Amino acid sequence: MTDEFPAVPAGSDRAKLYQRATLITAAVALVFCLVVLGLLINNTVQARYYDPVQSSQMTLLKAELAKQPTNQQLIEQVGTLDDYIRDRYFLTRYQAVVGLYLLLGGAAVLLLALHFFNRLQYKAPLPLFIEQHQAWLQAALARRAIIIAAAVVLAGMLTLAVLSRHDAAAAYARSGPAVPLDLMAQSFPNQPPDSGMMPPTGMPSMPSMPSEGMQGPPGPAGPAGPPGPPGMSGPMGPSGARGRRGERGPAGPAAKVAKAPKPKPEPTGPGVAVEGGLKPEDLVKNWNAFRGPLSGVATGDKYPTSWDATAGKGVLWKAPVPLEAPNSPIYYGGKLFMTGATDKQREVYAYDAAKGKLLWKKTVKPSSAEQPDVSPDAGYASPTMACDGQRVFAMFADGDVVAFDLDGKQVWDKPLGKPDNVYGHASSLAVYKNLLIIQYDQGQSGDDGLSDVIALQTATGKNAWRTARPVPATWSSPLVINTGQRDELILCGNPFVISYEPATGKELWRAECLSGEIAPSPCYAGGLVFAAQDGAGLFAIRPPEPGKGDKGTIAWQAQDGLPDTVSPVSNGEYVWLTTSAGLVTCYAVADGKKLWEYDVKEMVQATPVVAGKGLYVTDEKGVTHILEVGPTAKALGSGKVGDKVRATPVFVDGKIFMRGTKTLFGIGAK
Amino acid sequence: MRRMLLLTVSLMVSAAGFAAENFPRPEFTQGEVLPPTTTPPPRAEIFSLVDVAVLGLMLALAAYFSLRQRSRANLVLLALLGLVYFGFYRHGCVCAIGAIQNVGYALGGNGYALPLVVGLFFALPLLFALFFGRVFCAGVCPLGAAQEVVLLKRVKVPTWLDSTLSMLPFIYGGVAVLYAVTGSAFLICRYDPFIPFFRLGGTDLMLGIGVGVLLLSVFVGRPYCRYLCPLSALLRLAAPLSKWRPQITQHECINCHLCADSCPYGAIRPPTPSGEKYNRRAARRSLGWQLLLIPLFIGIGGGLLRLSSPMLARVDYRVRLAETLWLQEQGGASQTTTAPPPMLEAYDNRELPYALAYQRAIAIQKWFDTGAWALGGWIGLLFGLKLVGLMLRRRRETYSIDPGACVACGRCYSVCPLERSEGDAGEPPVVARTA
Repeated sequence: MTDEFPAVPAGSDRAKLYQRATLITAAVALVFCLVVLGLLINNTVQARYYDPVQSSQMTLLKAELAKQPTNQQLIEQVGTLDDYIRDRYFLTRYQAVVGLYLLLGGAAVLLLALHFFNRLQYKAPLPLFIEQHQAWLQAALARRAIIIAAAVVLAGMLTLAVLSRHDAAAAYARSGPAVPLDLMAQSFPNQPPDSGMMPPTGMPSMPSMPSEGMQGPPGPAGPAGPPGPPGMSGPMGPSGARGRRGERGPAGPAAKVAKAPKPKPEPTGPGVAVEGGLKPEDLVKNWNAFRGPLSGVATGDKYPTSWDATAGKGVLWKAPVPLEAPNSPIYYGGKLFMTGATDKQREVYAYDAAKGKLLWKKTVKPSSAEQPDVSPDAGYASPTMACDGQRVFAMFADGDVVAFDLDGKQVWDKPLGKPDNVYGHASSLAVYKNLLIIQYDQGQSGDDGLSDVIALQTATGKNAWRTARPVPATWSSPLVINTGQRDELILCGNPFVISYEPATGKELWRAECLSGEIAPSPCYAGGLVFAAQDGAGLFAIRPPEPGKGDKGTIAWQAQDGLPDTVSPVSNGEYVWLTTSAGLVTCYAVADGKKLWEYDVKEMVQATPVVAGKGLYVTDEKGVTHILEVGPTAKALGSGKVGDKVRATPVFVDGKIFMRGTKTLFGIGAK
Repeated sequence: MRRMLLLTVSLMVSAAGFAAENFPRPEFTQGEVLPPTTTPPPRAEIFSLVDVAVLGLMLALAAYFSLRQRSRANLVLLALLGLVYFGFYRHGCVCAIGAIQNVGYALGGNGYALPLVVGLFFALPLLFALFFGRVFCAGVCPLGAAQEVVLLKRVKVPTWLDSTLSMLPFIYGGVAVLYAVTGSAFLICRYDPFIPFFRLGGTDLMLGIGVGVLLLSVFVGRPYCRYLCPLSALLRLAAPLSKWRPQITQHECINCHLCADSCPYGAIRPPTPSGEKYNRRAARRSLGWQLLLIPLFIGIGGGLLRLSSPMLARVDYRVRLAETLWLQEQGGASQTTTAPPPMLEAYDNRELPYALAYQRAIAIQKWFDTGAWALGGWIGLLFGLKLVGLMLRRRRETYSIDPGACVACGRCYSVCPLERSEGDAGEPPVVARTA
C-alpha cells in the first residue's frame, strides 16, 4: 500500500505537519491497543479463574455439601456462588469479544497511520540500472540455488526412503493377512476420511439423510388392545446374517484377532443362535427390565390405591439402599435387583421381594480407575438392570457391563469403553431371548460414527451383533416389541426412530422426526410406536408391514405436554405424556386427540405405570398420584413413601416396589 | 521502533486465540429447568450462491480496476472488502485455495460429489486468470489482502532466492493434492496460517505460524502467496496465457526503473543488456543436456518417493491405526504407538479383527504408492524445467511484467511517470522532480 508518490512534496512544511499527525495517530493507536491488550490478558486470566468447572471454591463447597446434603444454608451458598461464577464467566466472554474487535480496530488505525507516514516519506529512487547488468549473474546464482535445493530435496527423499524400508510399523503391509474386500466394505461404510478435513470448505451440499417428513391426516387406528410382550411369537430372522458394521461373519480364514491388552476381540456372526430366553408366561409374571415387559403397563389389576409409608400404612416392608442411583428396580422370581454407585464404588443388590431382606450385595470392580465425568442427575449407575431368567445384567457409566447369576455369582464382565456422553450414559438394558441389548449412543453428531446398538450373548457376554447408528448421544432406552408379524427392536435418537431386527441387528425401518437431546424411551401399543421429545413432538408411528418398505408412517403427531426425560406410556387406548415439571397429558391413541391435562405440581422423573384402572404417577417427593384411566382426568387416590423417588416402580402381582434415594419400599396388602 | 510496534500489533492480534474456549454445560441441582438445546439452523443454500455471486462480482471489478481503470486505490479498497467478507465474515471458508483439495478428493473416487459452489470457487479464479491475469490475488483473496495491509518496510528478496522459493507452491500443491486424493487430510486448510485471525482463535501452533507469516509480511511482500499458496501456483501457470493482462504503461517505456523499484513481488523484469556476447554453441549444448536430464530427474524423484510412500502414508490416521495395532500384536506397542489412544480404544471396543485395519491401510498404501511416484516425478519435473528456464535467454528492451508472478496490485501504474503525467495534465512528470 506504500511506495506511491505522496500527495504533498516530501520535505515540505505540509508534509512535515502530516508526518507529525500520522505519528501521533500511530502512537495513540498503539497506546490504545496496548491498553486493550492488557485488559484482554487480564480478562483471559479472569475467565480461567471463573471457569465453572475449575472453580476450587465450588469444588470445596460441593465436597462439603456431599457430607451434609440437607444443609439448606450450604445449598443456598452453592447456588449463589454458582450464579456468581456463571455471570462472571459470561461477562468475561462478552468482554473478550468486545476487546478483540476493539483491538482489531486499533490495529487497523495503527497500520493506516504507518502507511500514511511511509507514503509521506517516500522518495522515488534514481533511475539506476544495476539489475540490468546483473541479470545473467542472478540467473547463474539461481541455477546454483536450484541445484542446492534439489540436493536437499533429494537427501530428504533418500532419508524418507531409508526410514520407510526399515520401518517396523509398516510391516503389516508386507505380511498383513488378507481379508475379503466385501467384508471390509461392510465394516467401514461411509467412513469419514479425517476428522480434520470434513467438511473442509463449507461443503454446502453435503448429502443428508433422506427426510421422510410429516405424513398427512391421521390414519385409521387399529383396534385398541393391550400390547403383547415381545419375544413371544413371530418369525425368527436368520441369525447372524451379514449386513452393516458389526454384523459381520467370520473374519476370513487368515483374519487375525487382537492380542491387545484390551478385551480380546472375537469373531461373531452366523455362529450365534438366537433362541431361549424367558417364556411368555414368565415374562408377564415378572418385571425383568426397565418399565417391565409391556413398556409401562402392569399385568393384573389389584394394585393398592392408597398407602403412607411414613405412617406404616399399606407398606409391606422398608429396606435401606446402600448406594443411591436413579436406576429402577427389576423383579424376577421373587427377587428385586438394582445397582448403586459413586465415583469410587459400584454395587449390585438383590432383595427378597417378600420380606425386603438384602439377599446379596456384590461389588463390581471398574475396568479403569478413571471414571467419566457425569452430571449429578445421571450419576454412575443410571441404566436399569435386565434379567433373562438365569442371569441379571448391570451397566455403569464407564461402559462396564457385568452379569451375575440369580445367586450373586459373577458370570462375566465386559467393558465397552468409556462413552462420549456429556451427561453420562443412562440408557437401560433390554433382553431379547438370549441376547442382551445395549443402546450405546454417544458423541456429538450422528456423523462421528461413535454410536452403536450392541447385542451380547447373555450366557457369555460375547458379541452377537453390533450395528452402527447415525445418531449422537441419547439417554433413551431400547424397546423390544412384537407387532404380530415380527419382533422388532425400537430405538430413539436424534433425528431417527429406527427399528431393527432384534436377532441380527439389521435395520427394518426408520422415521425421521425427533430432534434435540433424546431422553424419553419409546413405547408401543395399539399397533403404534410412540416417541416423544420436548421440542420435537409426540409421534405415533405405524411400522411398515414386513416387506412393504423401510419407512415408518407417522399416523399422527401432537405438540402439547412434551416430555424432556419421562417416557410416554400407553395401554393401546390412551397415551400419556408427563413433563418433568409434573404435567400429565392424555391423548387418544385412535386419532391423537388431546383429552385432558393434570398437573401433579411436583417434579417428576419416574415413568408412570398403567396398572388396572389407574395411571400411577410418582413425583420426586415420593407421592404417587393415581389417576383414572379414562377420557377425563380424575384422581383415584394417592400414596406416599416419604423419600425422594426418581426410579420407575415395579408392579408385580398386586404389589408395588418403589426405590427411594435411601430406602426400598414394598407396598401392598399384607 | 517501527518493528517493535509491528511485533506488538501482531502479538495483540494473536491474543485473540486465547479467548476461544468451550463453555461446559451447567449442572442444575436445585430444580432449575434446563432450557431446551437449540441448534443454529444450517446456513441457507441461497447464501452459498451469494458467496459465488460476490466472488464473481469482485473478480469482475478487480479485472475492471486493474486493466481498464488502472486504479491502485480501487484495487486496495476491493481487497479490503474481500478481507472483510471472505476473511472475517465468512471466516476463510469457503476458500478458492482450499477448494483445490475438494476437487482432488472428488477425483480420487472417494464417493464424494463436488458441491457446485466449491467447484465454482475453484474454477472462477482460474477462468479469470486465463483472461485477465491474477486479478483474484489483486482484489479478492483475503489472505493476499491481509499480507498486503501489513507490508510496511519492503525488503527485496534476492532473485536467486525468489526463484528457488517460487517452486515451493508447486511442491506444496502436489503434496496437498496427494493427501486430498487419498482422503487422508486437507493440509491446506489444516495449516492455513490466517484462519486463526479470521476466526479469532486457533491452536497455539497455528497462532504462532500465523503471527510468523504476518511478521514476515511486514518486510516481504506476500510471502504466503509467493512461496506457499498452491492456488498461486495454478494461477502462475494460467496467467501467462491471458489475452488481457496488466501492463506497466500504455506508453513507450522510458526505462526509468521506478516500476521495478515499486514492485514488492519481484514481478517486473528489467531489460536485458544489449550486445552481450556469449558462446552460443556451448549454451545450446548445455541446454540439450539439461533437457535430457529432465526424464532422469523425474525417474529419480518418482522412484525415491515411491520408496518413501510408507512414511508419507503415515499421515493418514487409518494407516497409523493399522501400524499401531500391528505393533501391539508384535508386543511392542507402548513405545512406538502412533495412533491416539481413543482411536485404539474405539477400535478395540468395536471388536473388529485387526486384519480389517491392515487391509484398509494396505488399500490406502497402494494409493500412496502410485501417488508418491507421481508426486516425486512432479517434483523432479519442476526442478528440471526450472533449470532449463533459467538457461533460456529472453530479450527485453524495456521493463516488463512477468504475468505469472504479477498479482495485479497496481503499484507500478501509480508510480509510472508516464501514467501520472497523463493523469496530471499540466504538471511536470514526477520523475523530473525526483531526478
